[in-house]
Amino acid sequence: MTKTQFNSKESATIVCDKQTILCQGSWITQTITQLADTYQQLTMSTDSDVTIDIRSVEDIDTAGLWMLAKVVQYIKSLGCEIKLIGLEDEQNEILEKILQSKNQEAPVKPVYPFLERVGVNAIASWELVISFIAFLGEITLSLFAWVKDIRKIRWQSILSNIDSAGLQASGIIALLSFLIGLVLAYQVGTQLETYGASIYVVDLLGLSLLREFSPLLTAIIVAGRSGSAFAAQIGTMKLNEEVDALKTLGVSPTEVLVLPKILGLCIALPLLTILAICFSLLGGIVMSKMMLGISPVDFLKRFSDVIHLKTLILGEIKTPIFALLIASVGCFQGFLVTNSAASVGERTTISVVHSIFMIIVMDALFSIVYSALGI
Amino acid sequence: MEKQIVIEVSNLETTFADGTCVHKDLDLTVYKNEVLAIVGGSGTGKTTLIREILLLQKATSGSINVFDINVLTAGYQVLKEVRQRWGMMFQSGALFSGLTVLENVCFPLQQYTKLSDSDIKELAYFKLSLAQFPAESANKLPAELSGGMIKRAAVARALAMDPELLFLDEPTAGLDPNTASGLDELVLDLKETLGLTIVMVTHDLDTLWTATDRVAFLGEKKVLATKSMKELIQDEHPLIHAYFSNERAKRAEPNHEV
Repeated sequence: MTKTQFNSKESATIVCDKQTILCQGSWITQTITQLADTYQQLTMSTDSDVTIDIRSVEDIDTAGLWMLAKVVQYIKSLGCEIKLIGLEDEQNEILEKILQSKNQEAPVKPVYPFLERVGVNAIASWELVISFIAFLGEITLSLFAWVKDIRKIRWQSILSNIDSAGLQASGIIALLSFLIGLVLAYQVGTQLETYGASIYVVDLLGLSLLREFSPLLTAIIVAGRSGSAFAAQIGTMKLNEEVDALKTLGVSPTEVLVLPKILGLCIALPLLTILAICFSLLGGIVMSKMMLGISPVDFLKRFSDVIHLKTLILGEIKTPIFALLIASVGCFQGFLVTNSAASVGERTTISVVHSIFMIIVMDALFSIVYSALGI
Repeated sequence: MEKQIVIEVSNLETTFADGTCVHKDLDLTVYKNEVLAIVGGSGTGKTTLIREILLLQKATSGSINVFDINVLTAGYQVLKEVRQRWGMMFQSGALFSGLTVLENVCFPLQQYTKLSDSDIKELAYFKLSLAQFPAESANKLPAELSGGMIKRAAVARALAMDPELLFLDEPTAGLDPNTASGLDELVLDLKETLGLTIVMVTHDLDTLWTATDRVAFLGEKKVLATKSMKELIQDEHPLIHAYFSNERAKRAEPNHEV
């Protein structure tokens, strides 16, 4: 019974002839499924011994031996004595081992009842909020350390973050903003045209793009693009024990990994927003010319008359706050990664969902404050 | 009886994209039911060689035959069958981190057999016992295990499909001496009882002395010698001599006098 060339068409059979059970074919991992269904249909009288003959089995591996052990146990449970023919010493050894070591089950982790899970989740969420606040505190402390000692500032790291989160995102931001300006001008233009008030498209576009749409949309795109990257990067470093290595070296991971990202994004996001404003206005100009017949010169002239610098500032003021949210949520979720690859994916998703959620909430807060101040 | 050849590597050449050449005219033969260790200094392409045999990495030129099948030219269906006949234990275990140990071992069985779930589970427990993994820890996640347990779980997963050929990458690296010698015994046990052919990469001199039949020494981009440990330490080649003539190597010799 040597191991021969494996062939997926091989089969394993078990037949019963009075008190002799004849095993044939190859009893290997790929074929034993056929036996699992048939062996319990074997019938024999319990009066005398049963012989199991495996001499004509061409090939048997450990899975086959395991199946043989199941057959042996089944026949024993019928109350018969068993004689095995044709088993080699080593195989017999393994068979004995299987027969002895049956029914071992590892303890399964308990599943908590519904109410308990709700409670556990509630406490976990609360603790998460607390630790996020602690995380923000840690960032602030690291920032103080940088302010105290300017040489500690990692310029190179900040610049590389501006490059990856800002410069490299400029293409997609420009394109999407252009399209949004186009679409918005079209929607507003069709309405205004019916009243013969086409030129007011400039007022509407200018106000909505500068104050709301450009900062908000840019922040959402960057959250999906860079916030997730921050979470995934720090998460993988955590898995790889690189974060622990930093701590052991006495270097604060917040200072090395988090601060450059936050500062980088705080510089990159306002710039990206300005880029977005320019391109969305370009989209608006193109659509106004094509649909409403407003020439670019007229558009810009009207624009400089009705839109003041204040509008731009009110929009831009929000962006560093958005950047802080995106970067800190992304990094925070990255640090929460624990021991499995799945948790990197999970935390990355959560970081995007949370940061977009917080961006929109923060934008609403700004609107409330602006209206309370009457600006 | 003539020895059956399981792996035959000939004229293998590997050059990385950056131009570094790791293997040139490398030949290696592995016979059935032997434990062959691949040794050599760091950067001599030991792991690369195993990865090339396992088709995880592409060789630049040469031929690799496993079970008399040229794996470099074989079609998808043939390779699928070959892949069920070998098992690999990666250096750091490479257990799926999202699955428990038991689920890790069940995974290949679920892929390739039509057994019922309870049968697969039972079979998986048996495979874990073959690798001497304690059954009570079977529902733990890989991250909750110690280094030795991870290696045993990885061996159990490699054994899941009853391979004829088992690859081990640094099976004893990072283990305490007790666990390491337990793993050496496991290797011998698997070879004796299951008739496996085992190819391993190792730096562990104790493993080389106790567990191997032959040792292939990699150096100068090829296999310099493939001999039993006893013969290998007598080899005159300067690289081999240097590898085995230092203090640590001497201490590991079985008849070393303290």
